[in-house]
Amino acid sequence: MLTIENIHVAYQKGHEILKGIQLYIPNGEVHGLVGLNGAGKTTLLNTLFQFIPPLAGHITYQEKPLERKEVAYLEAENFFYPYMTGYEYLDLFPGKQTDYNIWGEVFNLPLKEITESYSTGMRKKLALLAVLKQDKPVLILDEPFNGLDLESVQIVTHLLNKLRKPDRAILITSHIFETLTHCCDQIHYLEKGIIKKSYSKEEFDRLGNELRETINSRIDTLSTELFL
Amino acid sequence: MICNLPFLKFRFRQTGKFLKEIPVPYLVLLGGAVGILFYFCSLWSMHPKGAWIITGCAVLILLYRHLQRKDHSFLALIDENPPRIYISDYLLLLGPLLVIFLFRLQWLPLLGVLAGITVVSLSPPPRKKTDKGIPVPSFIPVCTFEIRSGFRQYGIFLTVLYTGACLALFLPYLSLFFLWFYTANFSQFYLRGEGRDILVGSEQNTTSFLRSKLELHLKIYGSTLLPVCVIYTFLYPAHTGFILYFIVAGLAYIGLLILIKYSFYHPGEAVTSGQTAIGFSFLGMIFPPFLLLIFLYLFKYYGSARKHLNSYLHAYD
Repeated sequence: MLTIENIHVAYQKGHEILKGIQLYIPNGEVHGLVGLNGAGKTTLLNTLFQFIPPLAGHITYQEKPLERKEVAYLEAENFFYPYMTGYEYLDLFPGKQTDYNIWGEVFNLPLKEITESYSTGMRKKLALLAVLKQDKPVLILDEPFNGLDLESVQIVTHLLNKLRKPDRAILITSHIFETLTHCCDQIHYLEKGIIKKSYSKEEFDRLGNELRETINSRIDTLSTELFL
Repeated sequence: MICNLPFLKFRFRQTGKFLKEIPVPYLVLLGGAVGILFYFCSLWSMHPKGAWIITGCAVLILLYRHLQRKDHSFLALIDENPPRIYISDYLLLLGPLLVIFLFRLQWLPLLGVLAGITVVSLSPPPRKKTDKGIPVPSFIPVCTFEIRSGFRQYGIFLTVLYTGACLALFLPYLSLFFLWFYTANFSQFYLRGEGRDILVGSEQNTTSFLRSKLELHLKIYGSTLLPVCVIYTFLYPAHTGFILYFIVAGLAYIGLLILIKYSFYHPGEAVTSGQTAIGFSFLGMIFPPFLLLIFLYLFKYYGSARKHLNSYLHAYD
């Protein structure tokens, strides 16, 4: 189980972004993280990958402090290197020897070509392949559905369900709520640096409605301020 | 009118502004370097052979600059005839050399420089990126992605320079000048930051990451330099000391570029800092008095690269 206990993070003194995050992700489960822009989703993921040291709190996996070597992280923005081919990119990551050709076919990726000729969705799929190759026990995926076409969304959803293993915990964020409901066992709603509520599969519809209501009330307030 | 006068005026203003903004110590160093360069050019151009070697090098620099410039599309938009702007620019750049040749009465090399300016200015801008680029030799390991990517991008030019270095072995120093430009091109490979996932992909801590990176890249660069240098030493045993200096300075220069890249690393962004160090170290490859400066820069940037990389790689300590 991946355990996140009472995590506090601040970029500046006195200005906390995460204010005591508490999360438990059992092995074999896929958990989603939603929240409006600036809620702290990416900060939490960066903290899990140890790019940002927390001010307080513990992150453990199987009751031992989580090590970066146990984590594979798909970032929201994916950068490669000029004139690098898809094959070369994948070769840079540790992991089992894999037949990239099959992956290339499944994901419809021209792996022999340089990454600059790839579309946004193709870049995302290539970065996702690198994460899959590493075969780590903890997967953190920040916006894996960004820029994907309909077919690729289906493929990634299918893959995530396949990745569900008894010795693996997965955490995903997405701005497209529906993509999470298809693959997650639980979704956590992050607001202003704290997990405001966690929703099980049966409660996803309620979460969807609550999110829509929150967004609508914000739009109403804003439009009132703008036009009246 | 062959030249574009408004553009020439603009370039004068730009140069003046550039000089005003350089800190005084660097200005003195820059002045010294230019003075030394001017002195040697003046000295070597007394004999036709030396003047032709200088002409060849000058045209090579020009071609390199022409291929590197990023404003080809912009200039095509602002002027109906972009070669006019290129000619103005390059006349200004090589003006001092033309003056030296005039002063030394080296008419043919002078015409050679003018012909070089015209040919380079009229040559078409570099091709746009292709889907696959140039095939990369399989002996270059995948983990040296900068070299593989760079070869795909500049491979043709690198091959031309390297072949030039081999063919020019019959003349003293000329093949070293080719290798100097080859190194300048090679150093371009390190001017962009890779993605954060690539950086942490090797799962090494800062010390072993930097050590293995420097080791591997310098090995590859050095092994390309060595064959030409060995043959050169056999042909001109009197130059052995300079050849050894050139190899050491070349390796230090490439090492410095790698350290500068990681001192200012930011995912996916071009490295634009450390240009003064790069400029002086590049000159230092052929001017021995600058070697100490290169090593000072190496120490400075090794420290800052370690510090900066540590924020990304501390988790592997």
